[in-house]
Amino acid sequence: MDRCLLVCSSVTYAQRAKKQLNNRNIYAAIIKTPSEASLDGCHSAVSIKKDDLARAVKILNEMDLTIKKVYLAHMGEIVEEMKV
Amino acid sequence: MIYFDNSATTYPKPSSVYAAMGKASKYGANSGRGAYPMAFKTSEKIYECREAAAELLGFGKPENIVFTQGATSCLNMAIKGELSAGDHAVCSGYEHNAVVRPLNSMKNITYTAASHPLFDREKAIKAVCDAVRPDTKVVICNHISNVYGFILPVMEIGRFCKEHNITFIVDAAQSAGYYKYNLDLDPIDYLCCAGHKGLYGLMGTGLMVCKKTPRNTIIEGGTGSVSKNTDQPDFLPDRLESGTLNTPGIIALHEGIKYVSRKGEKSISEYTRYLVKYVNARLANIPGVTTYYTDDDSLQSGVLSFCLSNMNPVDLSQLLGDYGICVRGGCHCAPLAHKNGGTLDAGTVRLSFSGFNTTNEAEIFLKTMNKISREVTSQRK
Repeated sequence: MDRCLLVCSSVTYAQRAKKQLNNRNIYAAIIKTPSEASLDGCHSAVSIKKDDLARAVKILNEMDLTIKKVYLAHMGEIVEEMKV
Repeated sequence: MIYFDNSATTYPKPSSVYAAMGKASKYGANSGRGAYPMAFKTSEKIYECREAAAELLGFGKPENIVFTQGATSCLNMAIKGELSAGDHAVCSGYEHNAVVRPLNSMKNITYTAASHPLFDREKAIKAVCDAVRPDTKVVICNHISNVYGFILPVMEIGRFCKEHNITFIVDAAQSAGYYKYNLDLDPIDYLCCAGHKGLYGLMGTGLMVCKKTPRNTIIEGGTGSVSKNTDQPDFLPDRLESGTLNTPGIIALHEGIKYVSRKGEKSISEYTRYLVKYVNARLANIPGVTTYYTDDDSLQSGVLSFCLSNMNPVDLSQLLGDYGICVRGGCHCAPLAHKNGGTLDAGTVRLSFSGFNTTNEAEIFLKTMNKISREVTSQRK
């Protein structure tokens, strides 16, 4: 299943993003960012369904919560970076 | 045992805090490091405490709450983080050594400690604001004096700092858990809180609310983020949270914060203030006793300092300890406050109450003080 990975600066931002998305009925789980998407080292990412991406980005923008990058992943493998 | 030393650390803690210590073993992984369920659960637990602290303090950005070892760590991080060579700082006349010693240690800055009398709000505002110079970058103010319970006018001083573009650091070691903050609006840049006092957490915990990201850091290291970069992260909380967090302490602190949220800061502070009034009404009439007290509830919290003539406060506190009454005697690590309050020579004996103290305990203390006073007077004769 296709998932979107929202890469956050740190686990604290990922936790905040997860909580806010879950509160708005978007199922979100925290993962450690896969190495090919980890930019300058370890990061945490929030994994959501691809269909929820637009709504999730809008919610996080409203909260002033910066997402560093967004990736499309298939079966746990990074497919491409997504522009949002 | 009667414990009236809650300004040093509150005791006892709510039972939920002790229970949390036992449950903490379930969260034994290092937050933000591993990619396995226990590590994620630990991160979540820590975040929940950030969120609870943010809610208690009226602050909308949980990620800008930094966990520390205590208020002293917070103050060092904020003061040394904001001041650079050539800068000038101002502090109130009632600061703890947790403020004065970091300032003294910075040989490339200058600072002015304002001088103003005890329990005088207007003179405190004037003294601090008058000490500000064109090169002043930081003002630091104790919200509640650990010696006298003097409530300083931090909001007025903070507004002055905002108008003059000066960073304002508040030492909330004695006020967090007693004063209802609304930090989204309050004119405070850094609020430095002890976790183990009014927030009823364990010793070795503290938290700092940061509206700014400090330029300088005093500790650098691993954060579990941007690991390929050898520079310290420029974002909070990671900029100030290097190394492994005190997860058991944070989990217990969360329970302390929940306790304060349930009780309400106003109710706790009104109760401890009531105990001060209750004790003062009789303590002040005991021969030889001088209390440092004001009737004005807006100027004094649940802390009361006093002296007994012809008896050193440290000796008196030790004698009270022999009777099973725990108080603190001496200078309370705050010589500047004693200098301004006029008690620097020998210090004072300090009673500091928590929500767990009772009037029955106060009665036992008063009877003991009457007995000690009689003994001291008869020895003199």
